[in-house]
Amino acid sequence: MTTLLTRKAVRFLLIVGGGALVAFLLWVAQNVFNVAMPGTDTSPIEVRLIVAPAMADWVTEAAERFNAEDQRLDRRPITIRVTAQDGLSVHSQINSGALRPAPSAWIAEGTFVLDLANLAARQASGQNAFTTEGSVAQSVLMWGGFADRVAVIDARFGGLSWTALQGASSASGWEALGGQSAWGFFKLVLPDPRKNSAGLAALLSAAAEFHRKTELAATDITNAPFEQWAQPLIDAVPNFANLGNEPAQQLSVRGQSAGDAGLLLESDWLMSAEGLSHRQIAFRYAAAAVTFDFPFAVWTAPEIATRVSGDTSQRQADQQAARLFYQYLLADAQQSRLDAFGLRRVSGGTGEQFVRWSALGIQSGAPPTANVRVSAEAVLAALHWVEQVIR
Amino acid sequence: MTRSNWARLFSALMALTVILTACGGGETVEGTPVAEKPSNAIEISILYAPEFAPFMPQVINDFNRSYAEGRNPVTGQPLASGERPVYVTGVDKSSGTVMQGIVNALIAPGNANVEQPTIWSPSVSHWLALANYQTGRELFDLADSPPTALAPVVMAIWESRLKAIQAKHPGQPVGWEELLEVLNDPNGWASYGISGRTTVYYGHTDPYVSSTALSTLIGEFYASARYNTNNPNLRKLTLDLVNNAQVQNGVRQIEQLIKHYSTRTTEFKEYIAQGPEYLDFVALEENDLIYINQGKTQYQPPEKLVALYPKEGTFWHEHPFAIPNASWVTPEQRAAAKVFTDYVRSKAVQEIVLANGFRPATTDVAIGYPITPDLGVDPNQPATVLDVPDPAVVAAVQSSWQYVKKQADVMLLVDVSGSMGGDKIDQARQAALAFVDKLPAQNRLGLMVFNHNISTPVPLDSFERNSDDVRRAIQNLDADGDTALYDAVIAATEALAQDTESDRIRAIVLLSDGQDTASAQSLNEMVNTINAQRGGKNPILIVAVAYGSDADINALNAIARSSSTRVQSGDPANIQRVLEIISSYF
Repeated sequence: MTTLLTRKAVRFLLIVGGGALVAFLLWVAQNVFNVAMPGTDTSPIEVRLIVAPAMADWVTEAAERFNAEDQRLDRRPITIRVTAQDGLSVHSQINSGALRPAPSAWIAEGTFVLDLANLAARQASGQNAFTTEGSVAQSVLMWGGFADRVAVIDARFGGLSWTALQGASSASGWEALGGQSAWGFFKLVLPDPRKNSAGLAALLSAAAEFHRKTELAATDITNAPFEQWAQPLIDAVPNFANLGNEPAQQLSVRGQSAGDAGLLLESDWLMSAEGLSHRQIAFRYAAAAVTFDFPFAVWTAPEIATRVSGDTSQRQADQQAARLFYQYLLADAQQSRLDAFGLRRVSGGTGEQFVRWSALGIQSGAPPTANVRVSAEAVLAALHWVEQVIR
Repeated sequence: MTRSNWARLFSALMALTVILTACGGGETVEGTPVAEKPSNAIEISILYAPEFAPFMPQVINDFNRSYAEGRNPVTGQPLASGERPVYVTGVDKSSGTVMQGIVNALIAPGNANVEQPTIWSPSVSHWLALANYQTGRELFDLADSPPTALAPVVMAIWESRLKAIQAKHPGQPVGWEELLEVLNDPNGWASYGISGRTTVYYGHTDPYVSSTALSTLIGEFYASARYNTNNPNLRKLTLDLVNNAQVQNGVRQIEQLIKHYSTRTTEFKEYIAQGPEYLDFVALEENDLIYINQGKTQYQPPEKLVALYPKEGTFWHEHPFAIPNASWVTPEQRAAAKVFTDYVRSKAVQEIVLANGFRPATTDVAIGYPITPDLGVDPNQPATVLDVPDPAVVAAVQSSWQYVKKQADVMLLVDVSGSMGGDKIDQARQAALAFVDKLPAQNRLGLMVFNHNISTPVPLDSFERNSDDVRRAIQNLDADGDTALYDAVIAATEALAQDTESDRIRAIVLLSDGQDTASAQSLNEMVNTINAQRGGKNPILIVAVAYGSDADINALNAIARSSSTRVQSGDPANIQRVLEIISSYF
């Protein structure tokens, strides 16, 4: 009997042990070697990420690293595809229903343009299109101008400001301001605000200065005195097409003939600082400006379901994969690379680039610029206004 | 091995060599074999401005070769999994012609001129704005059409002329204000201490076709609006100003000093290189002036041509790469076009851009040779720019040209001697008819023909009255008899010279295929007759076309030298195109 029990026990132990071994081997296969079990969904997850052009190079570099690391969600490989697109273009596509296929996520220039896009989505479908996870980097609008021009403005108006540039725009030429006649008229550096978020944000910052407030509503933009005051600034741009989407670079290659001074993104100035430094450029931080906080927002509108065949689990996988990449961007390895692209860390920290150009006025520490908060309705009002006054 | 076996072996090797050469040889671009198109390539096309013709074919071929070899030309890396190669085809074409072709593609698809490129690179973004304006839609996103090469528009003026103007205004910058003083001075260059011809000769191309001409005409309107309406602080040109009679009259007065027009700057460069005797100043892109000063034209300039960057401002030509928002461009092609755009804006290609006399469009390449004072240009200029008018204003400037441009008296002088028989006279008739069709209606036109006799089937009169008679007479042209070339040229010159008060371009377009066999007067007498008309406000230009291989090149060259023109060559295959180009001079 004892022998029988022993044989049964041995058989039992063999069966249980064998099963445990098989289970262990299966676990190793799935979790170490990513082998998929029959019936498991192993289809790739492609995260289609739209990013603001100022972010594009940094995010693309990070995405290439992420993709090379074979990152997975539930054993499904994740691939990040990056497309650079200005936030105003995203807004326009949401407005017209042309944002198809819907992206998985979007890193907009700032909360101001993300809110604008969500406003359009609410007006179209009753709900937001995107839900913010958080910021991934920072930048700030700042003044830049050729030193000889800035010196004249300093002498005449006491420093760079929208009030000063409005005065310069209204004059009959540089000679009337105390500058040289060969300089012609004051030329404002402003990317097309109908197409470029930084251009629109610059004008919103002008509205904030005009009204002496840091929270703007739509009525601040549709305000007749403001629009009348701002018209010379619009008229002071020689050609909205000329500088394209890289105004600092074009100032660097064309010099003063392309523009005299303007409010551009700090990262835009930094990426062209080398060339600009040969042309005697001066940088100043504005007293107040719209902030570029580069929010990472996941698409949460129902339409994504149609992109993935109406399957809720697919939509959730898409969103989770996007959030994984968001976390990836917050890691130190990625944050430390922001400096190379002229951007500040999400914490506000900076790197070597900022130190290098400190003599021109770049500050490594927190910029002394108050944040101008703008309602989505105010942004929309500004967009309508510039579409009317610029032909 | 026996001798016969060696012979067989040698023959086989020769045959193999021929076969391999036939397979591996074929077309090349600048000595580099034309890249083959990969079977899975995304095909895109580009139409670019003629100024890019010297280097763009090589750039395109290098791009295509990279993909053919399995590498991304921008990154230099092997193609990624799933990455499709891109294959580019391209051709140069005048910006205005392409603009009309693209507009026609949308609003008049049955027109003979229809273009549907993936990328269009005009010389300047004015054309993109005009295309948007004419189609009533945002066909091109100007903000997303990046520059690929920069060139300011300059007034190319002979150094002696510029120094004379500067001597009159010591220490002052020179611009349209000073040029207008010269243009309006009744004593012309004599007031500036320049001996010889006093009349000022100016030139520019056709603003419907050429970017330089369009920018220049806008500049003329600015100058007239500022200085003729006592508005020196005018900032931006408006529709009201373009339509203002006083402003238009001012532009008309500037245009009165035109010696002749041309369709394209590429041809005009050859004329200007002849020296101050031909033209005093002409509007050019900076790179064209460098080209002339580098001695790359057929004629070597007798003195240095310098770039005048008008003090009032000028325009930058940015050669943007624009992708139309049109149904003929797929999303894949759009993405592929952006790859090619990135390639053209890469450091390696921007170095080529600089070597060809343009300023780089990116910061990767610093300005250097040939943008140097030695070649007549100033890398620190232009100091300022003119505001680009709204598209409606640009369109109004363009359309006003027909009314402000200098009109012309054109005498078509056709050889109908016996040697013109057969195919030659048939093609000459077609070419002459095409010439008449292309001639602007504001001009005056006449027809003279010659063999051993000279006759005037249609005397000079307004185009409106004459054109049908001229067409009928051309249809009836027949070839017979000897050739009295010298007598015919003298007769035509004297016919045009009768109107001594003419303020029009006066031109004879001569089509001749043979030697003079019947003239009563000599070659010298003919040259003297032509020379007698030089130097005046409206010298008689004789544009001679050598038709066929038996044409009297010596005589035609003598004619061309006397009237400071160039002999054009034509044959039955291309004579129509040659005469169409000549019609653009008026």
